[in-house]
Amino acid sequence: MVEIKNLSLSYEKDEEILNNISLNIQQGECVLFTGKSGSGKSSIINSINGLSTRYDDAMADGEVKIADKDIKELELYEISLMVSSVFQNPKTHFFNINTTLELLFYLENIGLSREEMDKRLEDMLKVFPIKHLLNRDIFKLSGGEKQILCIASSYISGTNMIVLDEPSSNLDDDNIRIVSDMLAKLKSKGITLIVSEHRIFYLMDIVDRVFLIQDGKIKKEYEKDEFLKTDQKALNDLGLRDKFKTQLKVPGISEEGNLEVKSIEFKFGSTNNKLRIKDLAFRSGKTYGIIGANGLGKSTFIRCLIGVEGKAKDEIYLDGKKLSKKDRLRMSSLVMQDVNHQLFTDSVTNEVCLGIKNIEEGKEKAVLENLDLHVFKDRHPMSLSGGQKQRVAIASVICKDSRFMFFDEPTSGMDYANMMRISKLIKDCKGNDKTIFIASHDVEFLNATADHIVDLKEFQ
Amino acid sequence: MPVLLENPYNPNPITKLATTFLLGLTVIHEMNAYFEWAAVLALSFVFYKNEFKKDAVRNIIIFGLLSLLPNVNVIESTNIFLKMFLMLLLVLRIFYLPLTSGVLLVKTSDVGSIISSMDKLKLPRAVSIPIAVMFRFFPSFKEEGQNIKRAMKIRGIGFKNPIRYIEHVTVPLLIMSSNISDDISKAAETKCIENPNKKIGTSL
Repeated sequence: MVEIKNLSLSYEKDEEILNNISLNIQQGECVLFTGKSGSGKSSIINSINGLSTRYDDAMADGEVKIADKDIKELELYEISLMVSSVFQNPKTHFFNINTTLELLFYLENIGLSREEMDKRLEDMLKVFPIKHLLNRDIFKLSGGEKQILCIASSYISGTNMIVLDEPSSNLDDDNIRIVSDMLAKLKSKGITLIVSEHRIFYLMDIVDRVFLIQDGKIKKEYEKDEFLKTDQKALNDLGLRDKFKTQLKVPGISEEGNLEVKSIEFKFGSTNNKLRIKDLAFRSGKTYGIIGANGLGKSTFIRCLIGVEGKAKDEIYLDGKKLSKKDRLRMSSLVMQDVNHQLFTDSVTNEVCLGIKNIEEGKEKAVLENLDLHVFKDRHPMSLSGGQKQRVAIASVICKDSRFMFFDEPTSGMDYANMMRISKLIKDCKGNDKTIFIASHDVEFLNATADHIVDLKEFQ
Repeated sequence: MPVLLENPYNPNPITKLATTFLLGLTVIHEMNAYFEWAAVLALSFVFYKNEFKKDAVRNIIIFGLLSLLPNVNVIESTNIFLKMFLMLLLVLRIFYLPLTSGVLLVKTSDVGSIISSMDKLKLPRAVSIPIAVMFRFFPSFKEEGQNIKRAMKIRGIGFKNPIRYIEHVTVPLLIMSSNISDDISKAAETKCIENPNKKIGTSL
């Protein structure tokens, strides 16, 4: 089905991402590429669906054949007739705004008749009961619902092969379970699944072979049984997350604290859904993990606490004194999930000093050195890699030295080593007078970082 | 943004495009007030029937206010700042009808129906695909813009220094725009949008 021969891939002249990869994948197999961030596993996926050379300006050597056709000689739409793609961020998957139209868009493009489309839709609904997702505005779906829709649209397209690039990285536990079930159903239909992931526990029942990728090479190929026997510590050292689902070990929230949230009420858009929080107390010097399924409002809760949601009704006290939205805004800083939204200036130094009055002399230098960013101090923040950008955002939060620090999904899509690094950085931010809030669904990360957990499910 | 399938009050994109073009002619040829009000009310009716009730009301109010503007001769005799301000409003007044009709086209058309209607007009793919991508760009742009605005508020970036402010808005907005357009075209291409086979519109 897929035949890769001596594939090498480079983005710039000296930067080799893949080095001499050769492998075969049979029809109906489920194959997992795993390894550290930047090891090249996503590049293999993008070499199969043809995006690496056509979008990311990569230069490829070697051969990738799908169903005996060399993809170099095919147009992107011809490859897409054989391979469906599911991207890491489901937000980037859609071309339409309406869910049903999105599901039918591919079928429209391949020229199916209306009857044939209806038949496929009906068949898909039998396999995946997602009627509740039909005819909705895609912008109003939660991250989990979007990813479910992506996989459903891959099935409805009728291709024999689906490639998935870290499909779980933005999902909570419940949605990961749903995605795992969906993949199992696809496999039982004989569809070839090629997945790149470092969060691997949800694939352990489905996968047939695992390729460990390191520095652009296949370090090792495992059969399923052999992989399951591998020592967990050795896998962590290789940058992989746990093979089995990790249980949350952080205790719930204590009843006393000097930051008291008497109530927060926020109405979501034009729907009747509301975020309602009552009687919570947070203590200075502690780190709080905020959990809850995709779409429950973790990010909204954070924004309400910061005071940036103008429409929220709230009553919040610090040491007995009522805080207005403006007060909280002045006392807070945030690292957003997509850090591209929060980098504004033309150099790393300017970025970390932005919006801070009377910064202590040399402070920004010390912070940048601590985060290994001093070598980039004059670079434009947008020219850095994803991980480096995130560290710049964290550096700016540390420099601002706010009383309340907020982190929104800081580890989505991160391998074990990077996740532990962020955990250490956040722990270093801790101080007696500071309260840290982390919205996350990453259990391993919360176990390593948080002191208490707030579960938004309890406020439903 | 609600997109209503097979809504009898949602004309197909060709009609909306033609309306926008025809209303564009009012820019170079003055129309009588009855005709203008008829056009405004018709646009509001379509907005209303497509679940854009706020837009329907806003349309009538804004046009009502713009109609109260004095004519050019009166504006000429006012002081310079007031003149600049009123002139700007007057330009808006001149372009109001095609502008609103364009907003209606963007808000009530989905990409699939735009592509299939352009296919019917026998427009080449090299023209129709970029136009479809453009339509898809606006809602993403709006969403990302909101996130950037929030981030600025939290970082304490305000209007105090307008030149700096513009720089701070532009940088992330440009980067996001380029990312969005890349993502949209990737999504479109992996869904065979360039397949030369004939498209069958789902909403035509």
